[in-house]
Amino acid sequence: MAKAPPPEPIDHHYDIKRLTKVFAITSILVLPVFAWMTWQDYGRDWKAWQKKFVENDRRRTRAALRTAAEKIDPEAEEKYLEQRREGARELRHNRSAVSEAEDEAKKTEGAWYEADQDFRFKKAEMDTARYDFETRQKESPKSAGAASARKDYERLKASYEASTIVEQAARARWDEAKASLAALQKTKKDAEEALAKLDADYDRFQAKLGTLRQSDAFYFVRNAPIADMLAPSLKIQQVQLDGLYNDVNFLRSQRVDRCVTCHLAAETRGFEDREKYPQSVLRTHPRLDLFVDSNSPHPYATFGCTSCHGGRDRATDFTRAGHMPNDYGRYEHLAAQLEEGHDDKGLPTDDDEVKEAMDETQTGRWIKDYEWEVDKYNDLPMYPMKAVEAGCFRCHRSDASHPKAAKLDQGRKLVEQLGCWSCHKMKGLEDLPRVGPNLTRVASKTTPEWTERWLVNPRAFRNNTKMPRFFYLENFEGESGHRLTDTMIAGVTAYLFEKSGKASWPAVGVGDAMRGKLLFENVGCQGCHISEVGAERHVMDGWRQHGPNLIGLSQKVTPEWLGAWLKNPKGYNSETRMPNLRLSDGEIADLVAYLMSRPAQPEFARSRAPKADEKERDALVTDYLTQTKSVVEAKADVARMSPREKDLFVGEKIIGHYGCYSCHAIPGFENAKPIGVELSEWGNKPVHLLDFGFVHVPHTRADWLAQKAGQPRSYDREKVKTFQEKLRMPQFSLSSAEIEAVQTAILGMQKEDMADTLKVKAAGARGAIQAGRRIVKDFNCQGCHILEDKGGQIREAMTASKIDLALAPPVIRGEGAKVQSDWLFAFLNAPRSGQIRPWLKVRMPTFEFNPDQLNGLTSYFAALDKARYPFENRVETLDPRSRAVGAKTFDALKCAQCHPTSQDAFALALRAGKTPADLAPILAAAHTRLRYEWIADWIKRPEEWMPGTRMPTNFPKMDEGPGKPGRRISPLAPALDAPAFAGLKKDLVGIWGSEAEAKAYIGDPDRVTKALRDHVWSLGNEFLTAPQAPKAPNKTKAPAVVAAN
Amino acid sequence: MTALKDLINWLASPAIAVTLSMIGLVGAMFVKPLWTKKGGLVLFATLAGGFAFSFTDPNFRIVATMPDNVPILGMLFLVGFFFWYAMYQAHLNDARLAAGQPPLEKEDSDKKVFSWPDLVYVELVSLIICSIVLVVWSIVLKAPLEEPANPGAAPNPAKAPWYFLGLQELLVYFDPWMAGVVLPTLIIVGLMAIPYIDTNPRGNGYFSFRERKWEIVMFCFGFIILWVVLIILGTFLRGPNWNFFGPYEYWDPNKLVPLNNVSVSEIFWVKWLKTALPTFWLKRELPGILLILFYLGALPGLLSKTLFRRFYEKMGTVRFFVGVNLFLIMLAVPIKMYLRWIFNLKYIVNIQEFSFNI
Repeated sequence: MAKAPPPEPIDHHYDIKRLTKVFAITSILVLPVFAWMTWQDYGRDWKAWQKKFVENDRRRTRAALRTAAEKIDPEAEEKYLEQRREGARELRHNRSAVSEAEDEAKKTEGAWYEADQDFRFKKAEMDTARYDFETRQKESPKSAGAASARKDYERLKASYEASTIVEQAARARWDEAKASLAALQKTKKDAEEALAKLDADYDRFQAKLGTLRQSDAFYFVRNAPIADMLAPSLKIQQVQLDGLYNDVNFLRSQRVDRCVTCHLAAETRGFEDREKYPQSVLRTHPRLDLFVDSNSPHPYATFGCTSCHGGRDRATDFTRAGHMPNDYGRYEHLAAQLEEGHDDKGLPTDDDEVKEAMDETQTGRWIKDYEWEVDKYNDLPMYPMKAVEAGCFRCHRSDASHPKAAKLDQGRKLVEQLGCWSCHKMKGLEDLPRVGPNLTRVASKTTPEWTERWLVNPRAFRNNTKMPRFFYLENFEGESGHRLTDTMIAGVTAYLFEKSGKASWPAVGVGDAMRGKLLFENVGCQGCHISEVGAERHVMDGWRQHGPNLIGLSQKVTPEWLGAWLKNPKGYNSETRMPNLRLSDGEIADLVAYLMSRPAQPEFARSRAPKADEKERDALVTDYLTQTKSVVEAKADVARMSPREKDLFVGEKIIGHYGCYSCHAIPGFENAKPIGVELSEWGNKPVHLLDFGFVHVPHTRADWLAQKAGQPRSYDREKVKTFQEKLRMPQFSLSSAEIEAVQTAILGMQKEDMADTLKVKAAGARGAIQAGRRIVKDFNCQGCHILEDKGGQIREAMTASKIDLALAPPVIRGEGAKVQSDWLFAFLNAPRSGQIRPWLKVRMPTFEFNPDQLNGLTSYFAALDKARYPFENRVETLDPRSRAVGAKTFDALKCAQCHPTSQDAFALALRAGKTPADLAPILAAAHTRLRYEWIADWIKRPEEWMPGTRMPTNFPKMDEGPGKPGRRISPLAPALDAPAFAGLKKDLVGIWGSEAEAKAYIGDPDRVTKALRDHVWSLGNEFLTAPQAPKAPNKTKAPAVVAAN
Repeated sequence: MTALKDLINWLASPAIAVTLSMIGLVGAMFVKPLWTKKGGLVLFATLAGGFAFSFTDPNFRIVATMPDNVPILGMLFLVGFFFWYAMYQAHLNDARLAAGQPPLEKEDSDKKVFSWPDLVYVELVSLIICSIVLVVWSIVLKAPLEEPANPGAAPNPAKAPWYFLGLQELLVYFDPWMAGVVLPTLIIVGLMAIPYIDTNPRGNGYFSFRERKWEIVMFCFGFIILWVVLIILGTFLRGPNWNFFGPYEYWDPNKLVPLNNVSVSEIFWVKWLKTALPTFWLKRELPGILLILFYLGALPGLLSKTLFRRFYEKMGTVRFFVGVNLFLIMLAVPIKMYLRWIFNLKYIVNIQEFSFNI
């Protein structure tokens, strides 16, 4: 039954015409909105960078193409082109034969194709039948099924074998046809091949250029929205990093770096030019020898980018990737000025100027160019470039130093030498030598009056001291703050002197300050010490500030203590690193006279000695007592205690409060734990756990740290805190460059969350080198020696004192390859003066190394030069002819003119009026000291072993043009004919029988240097004096005698 | 200006804001001129003007423009509009009913139209408009993925999704099992029970205020005060550490507020009887337990005899006791809030032995 039609006209609730209009308007509106959405999704910044990179690459390739085109020899090209034309003519001439051969080739190819297909099919069928047969055989060997399967298999096998023969025959026919065709085409083909070879570079660049096209229709289609899902040329580039993780709290996810999506140029050489490629994103990564390159120690495929730089691995958006500008702090500072209209000092600022300054900061430029903002959801953004070396520290903390990361190296040195690690535990920086002197016997060294004034402000006594200032800082300001401070200082001093061990030192004779000065300048003190009023502190390259600046000693110590200290530093402080210089009593008296006469910083003498304030002291004692007692009990105790008792009580508590014992050995605090926060993984510390107080710095780790390091107590500003709550970190007076360096090191202290295979290897040669560097650093070897091309700073002092640098401590280069390890061990254990270079006044001091340190140093030197360690061959027999030739050549070359062959020869040389500048090491001990192989090598190429050596290069390198290594030649062969060498010629011919042979021998730098080496080896060598010496059980060790010069 | 902002900050503190909005809402419902078109414009202008003024304040701007908070700004105006619209219609109808005319909806319901185009066309247009709004919204307001959740580093303040912020606010006053389990369950159960409790046929299918004053006031109290106002409070006025911050106050994570609260047992034994707390929990908490038993057990009976006698007679025993119990539990929420604000009351029953706290 049909429903009744609706009544006409249909009644509408809405005005349909109006509704249609609304519909039309919204429909039109939805179109641009969807287009906008598509563009938002499609128009990624990284695509623009990829396009720019491809554009740069194209420009570069075009230039390369032009160069390649210019390099093609036009004559050769014309020749081959002519040959090709000739070939073409030939082919035209033999047209019918060629076409016949072509037909034959096509036909035979078809036949082979068919036979080959048949062969493959047959093989597949046979394999199936074999499998079938095998399984049936296994199930029931005797069944009918097995038998028929076997029959099938054998039938198919036969058919397969037949098809193999057919296929091979067909192939042979095809090959034959191809060969006869090729014979006809030979001229043309040869020409084409030659042309291809000639144009190889050009063609390669041409082909590359084809892939870099960005304007043809195909390019637009493949990169169009939606179509770009198939095979776009603009696409995200990523590398999966095995063994590197993102910590997502409950699990770890593999790192997948997408940085090169924009930084496409990073891996590619040829985009280094800063002028041509001003944006770093389009430039090659610097130092490809160290980073990114597949042959570097940090290949991109293994480490990616974010494992060093930090930041979010998967992000492809500028802000989200975690880029951090260098000067965000400054930008925010300026922004605050803009808002407040005045600077820190309250002076009005010009808005336009401030705005301009903001735009000029890196932050300002990034905001303008990349819409950069702080990504508050990114816990670990990248290190700003100024602290980029922090990334090295994450893995390389166990190394001793960082020669390839200057700022980090400085930061590490500061952290080590200023003793940050003493209060703040830092993994990898433990068990270093204490930075402060041992105070267990301080009363026998200095006075309470000096100590109190020193504590007030160490820099007033010694401007370059590493001791930070604990007192009179900003959170103890005002009258009462100062009274409290004085009370604390008085207490600390009282405690130190009360608990100090007592000792008395023998009197020192009357010395001569002038002689003392000469000794000070000559004996080597200045490798570690300066003596300059008002010197600035240098930690980086500050080898001469290894020990304290020797000024104002008369205010600080007694002559008796100083004498005893110089005689035997370990006698006063068993853990000191000050070595023993083996000084005689007379020398000590002179040196004491000189040192006690050195000036002092004037302000220290004028400074006020602090005095305890009774009220503050009582309050402080009560404060501490109430931690364990009730207020009433504490008050009773205070009333009972004598002022001395109170001072000692305060002293003990304050030393504990400020953790003085972390840097200094103090009686009563032998087992106390350091007071600072552990910083081992500070680089991961969530920013919201940092207390910014009321200080306006941007809330980033780097900015917090910079503020803390520069003004350690500033986060107490405007805060109302009790004594116990106040910040305790002392003022280190760091320069802004030093702050940046410390920042770099501390920011790099992050979790080392990676597979073991990726971690820095601490064993083997690498480990030996690091362990050795640690010792070298701790004992300041580079204060005197140039070692690993660094240090030798004593030379500055010698130059200032007008001492000939020929008298400087030797440069240590190639030492591991040069000396025998057991000699080195013995020498470092107990150095004696006058053995090798008796003319030196500077002394190798006795460090009293322990066996671990000695082994560490010897294996370090060996590892540096990849020398054999610890055992080597003992050479006890020499070829007599080689020795004889060596002896003759030694004389002919007048080696003994500089090298005394024995101690007696040295004495003679001195008597003959030779000065030290004319002399070279005595050779008598060469066989006990030097490595046999090394001597010959040294004679051959001394200027390579030690640039600038005074040893003449007797076997110069031939100049064989640039890039060639250059062969060494011996000028001795031609020289043999000169009258001056007539004697030598005669001797050599006597040994060799013929002139030609003698010349051949002496003309060979390898052989002649070996001969010289054999001669040197025999000097003073008792085994070799008799030709068939019986084998001695062992070589005599250098006696461990400490001798004065 | 500062004084004005300080005043508003003070007025926005939970106790005052809830009290004022309660009085304001109920009072306003009886002010007829507000529910006209002119009144609506005035209301809108006040709200919008207040926002315009507040946007000059940097601290307000930071909070109000957080992408997460934008929907709540929208909700503020939408809830306001629909509330006004309902009241406007209700007052129109009330006037018509008073004049003996049928309600406006009667005319509409007599009329029949086809679903096409009247319904489907409008739906289509709505769909397009919603698409446009959502697309533009998602382009303009970024909603990035944050770092993976880390229990060691929870965001401060840690906030629930905006629609749960009212419940989260209740956590200040109740233990989780109450605020998170019992109360939400009762809200759902209570809403489902409404048709069975309220069998009054008047107001079915048309807006009217005069015919259902009690029910409308009750519903608006539950929805607008205990849900919407608490969401707004939780969104805009709860900052780091869930501390209260006035709309023009800086969200300082270091702000400290004393949280010294006491329980009924402490008041009863220590303050009144001057003795130590009994060690046996039942004895200790007896005063609180008795209070609760009285509130839920005896009070409904008392009410049926006194204040709510009219309802009791109208609704019958079962309906009345179910309804009045639901009503009392709803009322318990603001009561507990006020007890906290005025007496620093922490728990009425505080049996920590079983983690049972009311």
